[in-house]
Amino acid sequence: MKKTQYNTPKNSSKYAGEFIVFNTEEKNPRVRYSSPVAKEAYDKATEIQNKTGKNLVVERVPEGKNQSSYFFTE
Amino acid sequence: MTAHKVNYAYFNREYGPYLRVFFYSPSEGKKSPETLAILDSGSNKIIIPFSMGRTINLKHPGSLEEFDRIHGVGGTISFVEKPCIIYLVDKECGEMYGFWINVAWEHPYELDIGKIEKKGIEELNMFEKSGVILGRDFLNNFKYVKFYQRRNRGYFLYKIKESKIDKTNKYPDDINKLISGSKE
Repeated sequence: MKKTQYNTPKNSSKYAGEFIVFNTEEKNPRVRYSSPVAKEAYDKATEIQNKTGKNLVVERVPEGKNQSSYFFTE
Repeated sequence: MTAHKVNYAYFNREYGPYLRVFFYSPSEGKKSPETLAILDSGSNKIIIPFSMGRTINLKHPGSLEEFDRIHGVGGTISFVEKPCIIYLVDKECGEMYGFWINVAWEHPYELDIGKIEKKGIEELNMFEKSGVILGRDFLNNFKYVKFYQRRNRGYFLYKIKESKIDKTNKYPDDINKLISGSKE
């Protein structure tokens, strides 16, 4: 059985409403970049990836504590 | 196909079942950034935010395409269904598995692209709130998914149905081929 663990920045909640870029492979990932604009974060992740060869993750930090959950369509 | 055990990831002060994925549009040769997507057995769709669809150049809906709405605890959102490939990253095996699938693309219920471009950040971010949600449409690609707790830690086990995989590529080596826009 393969085991996987994704590490995330501990202080992500202070970026509520923003897109953050980080590396899940780091033990304590730091936020490499943050922006309220999705495209800026996506571009930055690609730029860092091209420079360092490391594949980073972009994630939006929700404003509320709970992530929205969607149930059904009409 | 090997079974996988994944620790719940701690994000925004909560633990949750996340998988690392990205989206790819073969017709456009565009790949999205990688993201952690939450597994949500309560959702019947795979939901991607507006910006994620834009990065892979999903076509804005035409006048003949139907918008639909999704209702949930977070409110109501409008979406349009679009086909694309979702890649599940399996770093431990050095592979990524692609599934052709229809995603529910959060979209501002607007056909005039010019008007969308003029919308402010706050308005556009209304279509980002769900994040990427992997609902039952995605879970159907698994033989099983099991959520459980042990010593107050959350885990989930999953095993992919091999017959559901449309593409298997090397990770991360083959990503460059996708980024370079090798249209299929």
